[in-house]
Amino acid sequence: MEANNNMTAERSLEIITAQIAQSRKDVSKDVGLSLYIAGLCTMGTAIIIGTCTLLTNNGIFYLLYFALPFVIWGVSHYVKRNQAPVPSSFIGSMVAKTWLTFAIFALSFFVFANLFDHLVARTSSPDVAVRLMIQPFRTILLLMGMCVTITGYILKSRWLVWCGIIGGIGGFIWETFDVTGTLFSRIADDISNYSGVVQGLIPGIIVALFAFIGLTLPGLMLKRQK
Amino acid sequence: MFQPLDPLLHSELRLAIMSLLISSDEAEFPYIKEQTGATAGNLSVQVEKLSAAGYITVEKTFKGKRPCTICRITPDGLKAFETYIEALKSYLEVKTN
Repeated sequence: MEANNNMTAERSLEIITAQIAQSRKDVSKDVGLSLYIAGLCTMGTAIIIGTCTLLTNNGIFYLLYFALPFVIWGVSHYVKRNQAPVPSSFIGSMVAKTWLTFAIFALSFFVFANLFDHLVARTSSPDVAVRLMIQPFRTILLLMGMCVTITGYILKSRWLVWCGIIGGIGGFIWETFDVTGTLFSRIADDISNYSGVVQGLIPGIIVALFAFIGLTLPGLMLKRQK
Repeated sequence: MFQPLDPLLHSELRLAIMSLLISSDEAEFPYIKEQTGATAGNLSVQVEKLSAAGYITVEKTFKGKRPCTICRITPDGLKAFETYIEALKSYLEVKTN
């Protein structure tokens, strides 16, 4: 690009449009990579937690979800270490704040739900406790879907909007109606074995599945856009 | 009636720099160089002109041990860009009419 002072109005408009579009695309690609990394880390963590819970029958491994933000931050930092920095922009800042809000709400709710469930399990009879217990995953999936959808609107990406809606609302409905439990109760012969799998591995697989729909897939689409 | 176009902005490279900075809070020199496809020397000259006019600020700092030049648009630059767009509209309107 030269310091040409004899431009037409159309050429000026072309330059302005192209540079603004390029800037938005760079932010989109950067966000795409972050979503992709976050999705893969969430899927990996969910599978590890599910497997450990299945093998040991101990719910303590769910606490590993607290390490997830740090894992995502570490992996992102490592992957992006050789990349040219994307300029900080209003769009990038809005996306970052959306996800920061998600992290604050999701982690706070997760802590509250676990403490509440623990308290209810100790103080109430089993049939009352089952009714009172909070299922944190469905709400977290809903929050995650909402954040993906908002990110999609900010970045003007239809893919992201639809993945957010399907991942969030789909995950919420799936968990609320215990679709996994219903499906497994129809196909499992050994009830004790089935109950172990549902308690251990299945929640991890559900989180991994919806992390794939809501994070990894849209992240990949944004990352690969031309 | 045509409005006069700011001669400082009516240059391909300077306009590209301003357009990049208008959508970002700040941008590093290598990023601007990569996006505009300009040579480092030419870009430095144009950045200096915009800086001298008060349209952008240039901050020379360090990122670790690496020198880092960060450019930001100023309120004067923003106003000049808006005026330029308004002027540009008058040209485009005449052409479409």
